[in-house]
Parts: sequence; structure tokens; C-alpha cells
Amino acid sequence: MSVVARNNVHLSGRQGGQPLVFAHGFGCDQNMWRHVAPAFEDEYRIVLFDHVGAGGSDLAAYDRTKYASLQGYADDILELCRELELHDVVFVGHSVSAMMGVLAAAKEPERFAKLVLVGPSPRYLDDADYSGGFTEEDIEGLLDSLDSNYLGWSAAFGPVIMGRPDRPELGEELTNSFCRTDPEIAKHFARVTFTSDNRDDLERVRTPALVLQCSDDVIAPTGVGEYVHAHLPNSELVYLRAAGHCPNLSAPEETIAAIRAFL
Amino acid sequence: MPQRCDDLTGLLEESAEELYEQAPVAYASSLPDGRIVKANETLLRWTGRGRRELLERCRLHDLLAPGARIYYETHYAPLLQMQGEVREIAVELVRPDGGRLPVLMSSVLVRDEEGRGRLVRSTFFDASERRRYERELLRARADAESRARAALALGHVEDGVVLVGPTGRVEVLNPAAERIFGVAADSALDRAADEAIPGWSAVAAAGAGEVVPVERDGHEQWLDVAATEAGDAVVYTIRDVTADRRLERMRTDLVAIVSHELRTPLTGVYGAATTLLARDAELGADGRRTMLELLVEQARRLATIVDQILLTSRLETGNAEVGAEVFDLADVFVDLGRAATGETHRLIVDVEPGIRVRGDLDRLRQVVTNLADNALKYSGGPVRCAVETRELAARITISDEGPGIPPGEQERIFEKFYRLDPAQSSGVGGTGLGLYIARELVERMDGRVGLLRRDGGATFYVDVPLA
Repeated sequence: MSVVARNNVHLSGRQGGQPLVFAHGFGCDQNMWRHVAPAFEDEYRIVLFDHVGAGGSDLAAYDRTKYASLQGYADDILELCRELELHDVVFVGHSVSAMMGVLAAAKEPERFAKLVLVGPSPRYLDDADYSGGFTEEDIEGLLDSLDSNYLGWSAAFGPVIMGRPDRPELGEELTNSFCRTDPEIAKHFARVTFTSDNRDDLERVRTPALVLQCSDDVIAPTGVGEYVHAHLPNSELVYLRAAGHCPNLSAPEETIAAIRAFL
Repeated sequence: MPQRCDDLTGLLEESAEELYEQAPVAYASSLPDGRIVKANETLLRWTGRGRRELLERCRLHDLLAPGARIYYETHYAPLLQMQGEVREIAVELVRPDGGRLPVLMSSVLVRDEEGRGRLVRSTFFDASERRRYERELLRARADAESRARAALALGHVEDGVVLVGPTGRVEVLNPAAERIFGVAADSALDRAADEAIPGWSAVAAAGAGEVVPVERDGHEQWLDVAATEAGDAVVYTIRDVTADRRLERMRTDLVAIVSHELRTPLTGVYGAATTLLARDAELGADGRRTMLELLVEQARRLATIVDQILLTSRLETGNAEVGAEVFDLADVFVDLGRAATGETHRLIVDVEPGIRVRGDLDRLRQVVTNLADNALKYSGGPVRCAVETRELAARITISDEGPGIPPGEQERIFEKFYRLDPAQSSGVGGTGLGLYIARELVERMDGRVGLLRRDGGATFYVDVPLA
């Protein structure tokens, strides 16, 4: 099966432009970039995709062994770049995908021109001398939440908004399931994400990188973003005014401006 | 009636504000960044916080347990941004003292004219009861799935498994057991085992690891039974070892043949050859000829037995080739007298040419010769061979005037290695393979071999398809 089909790849933007690859984080799918990606279409080749197990990806390709670590996802990103013959890539990764970008750039540095890491965290669990923000128990709580919301899954995330003549584009998108997937896959991805530890990988990367740090982000607290900046050699850190973990949705303009300034 | 109206009026006096504050639902209004700007009394009570604390220091996600907070940030908040609305998500509110309250949370995003989110209105329903039974449901589902996997395993083991309950009723009967006993689980379940399962009494009476014979459809079936007590029930594990038994019996039969049937002619050959060697001079020309004839006769008998054993083996492994050519049935009887052994002058062949059949001429000749040999061996009188045309087949009959076959033995004589009781067969030996081979060969020609009912003597018939 082609990577394009496996990862539900969508291409847009300028033919022959420098590729801008957007990777979504844990929870939803490529729709997370809906307000950000279009801003770059005039200048760049836009590549959107879903990680295997999320969105419109091929769920049959979900292999618990391959995706037992973030490296499996990073390898998918490299496969995608190879299949689409992407070079000089600007990789924009949100949340856990930021670390997948770090792993991919460490493995194949010549492929990447720049990295944009939105809300990155190299380790979510607290450790001696390191505060990731979470304990093992919190992660169990998350798995519990995933379980609890399984029964009402389709009712909660189905096509909900009817009759929005002002924003017709919502209608079609909302029939999709941005955050819906096989609950067993969601739980496995959650465990792999929140128990990952890629602190040692940061120093392997020389690719120029931008770290975007939101205010009041409980998933990737400010201290964690600063840790990434301190250990990622060619990085710069920009603090966003946007609160929460998803500035790509809650503050697209500010996110676009920060990325544009870096590029 | 007026009384009621008065009551209603009293109720309606409640203000919208009172309803908002005291509703059995918690309300919160927050800014898109999560800061809470308005909350009702119910939320304050459920979260154990003062109004000032809630409005000045809390963001919406601070009210949630840590696991739910991750879920909120990674699923809920993005969905709210994308859909403008999220409904009935199960989360837990957490109080400063650590107490938790399961709730169902729903939110709507209020947008301004430019479509930008300005305010989030959220409601929280107490879902303690609901969460409890949902957990039960999840547990029940996990149990059911695990039972389904166990049933899948039970359905695919090669051994029969039967679980008999305390009152002797069948509670489980897996597909392997269905095959072994030739009984459908549907018809056996919840019935007394010894009524529902043919031959069960023998199985139930079997000792540990004992192999017991069970009669099924007129055939003997050997079952290796292991019974284990499981709580108030008994689990029987049953393996069909009939094939092993058959092999074992064949091995024993083969040893018997080798030790008797092969040794007798071998002794004859050895004796005749030794006599010739030692007493060559004493024996006259006639004596030497007698010895040589004995040698030839015994050697031929040996060859016949070895051929039968080899052919049996080929028939069993499916390697015996049987042709399907068209020939005249009379060709089968050419030189029958020379091919048969014994007093062939008693052989009366009453066959006219002109009946065309389909089959393997050489194999059919072998079958008829064998039947004629048997008839000559078992009777002292004439042996008649005849043919007739029937509807779809030509029938060859070979009749003798010997003692006949006892009724109880008539089917069994076609079984492999089966031989008549020496008392009934006047001590005539044999491998017990001849009739078995005859039936196998003729059936491969789409024909039949059998015995006709008759008083005095035996009449065998061979039906061969007409061409």
C-alpha cells in the first residue's frame, strides 16, 4: 500500500514550492491544521497527513510492534518524504509529533531544512530533576477517560452541527471524525505518547528549529518548552500569548505569524 | 383544582436566576483561554471552591482530574474549536480535597460576527450512577469477549470436550465432540448425557486414560477418555483413537500372516529344495518332477501373498491404478482355467462373447480368478461361472456347492484380514485380503462385488458397468 493512501496524505499549495509538512498530535487528525496550513499555500507545497491509527489513515496498517515507540511514526514521516520525493523539508509538528520530527531529523538530517515544534515535550512523566507535568497515575486516568468516552463515542463526535449557511465548509468536515478512532488504538497511542522519553535525542539534531511555547499549556508546560530549547542545539524559543495546548486552533493568526517569521 | 393552581403559582415565582444558581446541573461560562467568568452555585458546591477562587484563579481544565485534563486538552478543546459544540463527554470534577465527581460535560462555543470564539458555555451533569453501570457494562463486555475467545479455543481443539453438570446434563459439547459422537450440540445440550450422546455410558464408565470401544453406526470406534472434576461438573476430554487402533490391529494381523501364511509355503520351498539337493540320486525322474512342481506351487503361493500385501498397501495409499477401457466381458474368462489354482477341471465357464463393459480387464481377471480360486478351495463340487446383462451393468456370477457362508459372516468377509473361523472353512488358510482387494478394485471401476442369498453353496457376483 502506498504511503499516500496509508497516511491519508493531502497535497495542496504551490507546485514545486518548498514542502511544508504538517503533522498532527495525539487526539485528533490533520484537521488540526485547517486554520494554519492555508496561509502558506501561495508560497509552499503543503503536505497534510494522518498518523496511522488516526483520522482517515488505514487502520489495518496499525502494527502494535512498529508503533510501540515514536520512532515508528518518525519512520513513516521519512517514508512519506521518500515516496513524495520531498527535499529541503520544513516540518511542522504539533504536540507529540514535534518529537517525531526530532527523531526523523536525527535519522535523516539531509532531508530537513527546518523544524517547527508546536508545544513539544521530550518526556511527559516527571523524573528526577525533570518535571514533565504528569505521573504514571495521570496517564492511567487518561486511559480511563478514553474508556469512559468509548460508549458515547459516536453520539458525541458524529455530525453535530446542522444548518450553518454562514460556514458551509463546516458541514462536510463535521461529518468526518476528527478525533474518532478505534479506542484500543487510541489507548495504545496514548500510552506510547505519554511514556515516551526522547530527551537524549534532542542533542542529536542540528537542523534549525523553532519551539513555540503556549502560555498555560498543561500538556507541555513552559518549563518543558524551555528544556527543549536548552537541549536542541540550533533552536529558538518563541512564547505565544495563546493559552492551552492547541494554538493552531485557538490562535491561528499568532501561530502563522510566528512560523512565518521563522521561515 | 384552585388549590393546585395556587401551588403552581408558588413554583413559578422562582426566578430564572434562582433556577440558574440552584439547578441540579452545574454551569460555567469561560473565555476561550479557559478562564471562568461565570459559574452557578451547583458548580461551586460540586467542586468545593469559593466563587472568588473559581472566578479569579481557575481555568476550566483546573476543575478536571489530571487524566481528564489531558483528554480535555487533546480531544475536547480541539473538538470545541472545530465543531463549535461538544456533547456528553465523561470526565471527573476534582475538589481541592481530592474528592472526585464523575460528570457528563457538554459545551457550546459562542462566536462573534467574524466567527472567532468569544465565550464557552459548559454544563456538567452528575453522572455517578451512570458511570457505575457503564463500568459494569464495560466489565460485562470484557467478560463476554473473554468468554467468546475461550469458546473459540474450545471450538478449535482437536479433542472432544464435554462438560457434564451436577445433574448429569450436558452443558458443553464442542465441535470435535459433535464429530466423534455424531451428535449436534444443539440437540444434546441440557439433556441427560447418557440419553443425548450415543455410547456415553461406556465413556462415563471409563477409568483414567482408558481406551474404550463405542459402537457407532455399526462400526466400532475407540475413544481415549480422560475425565476431570471441575467444581460441581465433570469435564471429559475425548480423543478418537480408532485410526491408531486400526493401524495397531493391521500390524498385528500382518505379523500373523507373515508368521503363518508366509512361513508355510516357505517351509514347502525349503523342504522341496533340500530334498532335491540331498536325495537327488534316490529320486527318480517322477520324484524330481514332483519336488519341482511343489517348489513352483509354493513359490507361486508366496508371490500371491506378497502381491496381495503390496496391492493392499497401494489401495490404502491411493496409489493403485485402475484403468477404464472398453472390452468384451468374455475376455475375462480366457485362460481362467490356467490362471486358477487347484482342481480346475471342476470349473464350468458358461460365457458367450458380445457383452461390452468398461473397466480394467487385467484387474477384473484378477478378481474373477480369486473368486474362482476361493470357490474351488471351499467346495468339492463343480464351480460355475456365468454372465448376464442387467439394466446398467453386466453381472458375473461364480457359484459353488460348498458349505456356503454363515449369515453372520456375509458382510465381514469383505473386511481386510477377515478370515472365516477355521472350523467353518475346513482349515483352508489365506491372508484374508483376497475379497477385500476384490471389493476395492471393483468399486474403483464403479462396479460392485457381493454375495447372493442362496441355499447350499455360495454365489458371488461382480457387477461391471456396461460400456
